[in-house]
Amino acid sequence: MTIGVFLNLEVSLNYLSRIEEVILLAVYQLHDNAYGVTIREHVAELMQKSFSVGAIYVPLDRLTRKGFLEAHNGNPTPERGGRSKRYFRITASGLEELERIKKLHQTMWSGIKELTVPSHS
Amino acid sequence: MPQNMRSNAPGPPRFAETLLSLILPEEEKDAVLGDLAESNRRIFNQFGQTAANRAYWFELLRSSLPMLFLKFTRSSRRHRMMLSYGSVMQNGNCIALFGFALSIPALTLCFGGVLQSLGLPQVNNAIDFSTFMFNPTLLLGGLTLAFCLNLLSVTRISYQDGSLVSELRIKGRLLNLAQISFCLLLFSIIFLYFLAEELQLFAAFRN
Repeated sequence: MTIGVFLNLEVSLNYLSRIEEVILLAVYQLHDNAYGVTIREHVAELMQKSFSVGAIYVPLDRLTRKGFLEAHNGNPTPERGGRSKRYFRITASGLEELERIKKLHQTMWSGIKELTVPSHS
Repeated sequence: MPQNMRSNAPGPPRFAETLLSLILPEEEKDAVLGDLAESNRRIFNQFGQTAANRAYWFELLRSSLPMLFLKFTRSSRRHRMMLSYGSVMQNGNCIALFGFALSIPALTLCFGGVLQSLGLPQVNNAIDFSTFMFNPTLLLGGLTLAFCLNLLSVTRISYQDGSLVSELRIKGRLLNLAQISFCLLLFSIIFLYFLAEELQLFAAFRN
């Protein structure tokens, strides 16, 4: 076995991290208007917390590498200093992953109607 | 906020933008700088230039580490994927020579150990160190490393069309092939030695 194969081996995670999950959902909800600024605003609205640009683009890169998102560049605009937007779109794999996460949450939370402090006897 | 100020927004602070462009990975540079410029404009329209600049600098500070991490990991990933071991050390012969150099002391220890096992008195005195140095694990480890290094010098690893490709560069690497054969020969000698030791063949010579 060559070292090249060994070095190229990447561990694949079975589950997305929370931020990846939220970003994937945000991209899905934003439809064709999912780019850096809108994703960041939507995630901040969902999680009630502000995120830096880096904190959004790193998970976006991971999701793209995993095949859950695909990116394409839009036209440059003057309000962006002549720079183009990078739009993200959810793929079929991404949809499947969202479905899987949704089922997981439903399974985890099934049967729990109300959260109460458990009594210890 | 006056209308003309909105249409004549000064834009992000140049120095901060330049710093960011150094930190950002190539693929994200345009998009991230554009996003920040857009956010900067919005803040400028609402709160003025000072607030917009302050927000931009704040964004630079808190995005630096994640983007640097992304830049570093991406370049490492690309490098690994396009890795050609012949080009790692500029010349595959460097790896081969290092492997060859490693195999020489291993060979010396090997023969020294074999000769010592034969019980030759001259050899015993001359190479007493081999009792300590002739450690099978150490020897095999060194030979394995030498073998791998020589193999690496003739193997090219690259990532093409989404799949890992490895090919043996035989042309022009006859010296490396000789070195690989040499290492294989050493392995064989070691193996035969241990086999003979196990079968107590050397006892006949000692007697």
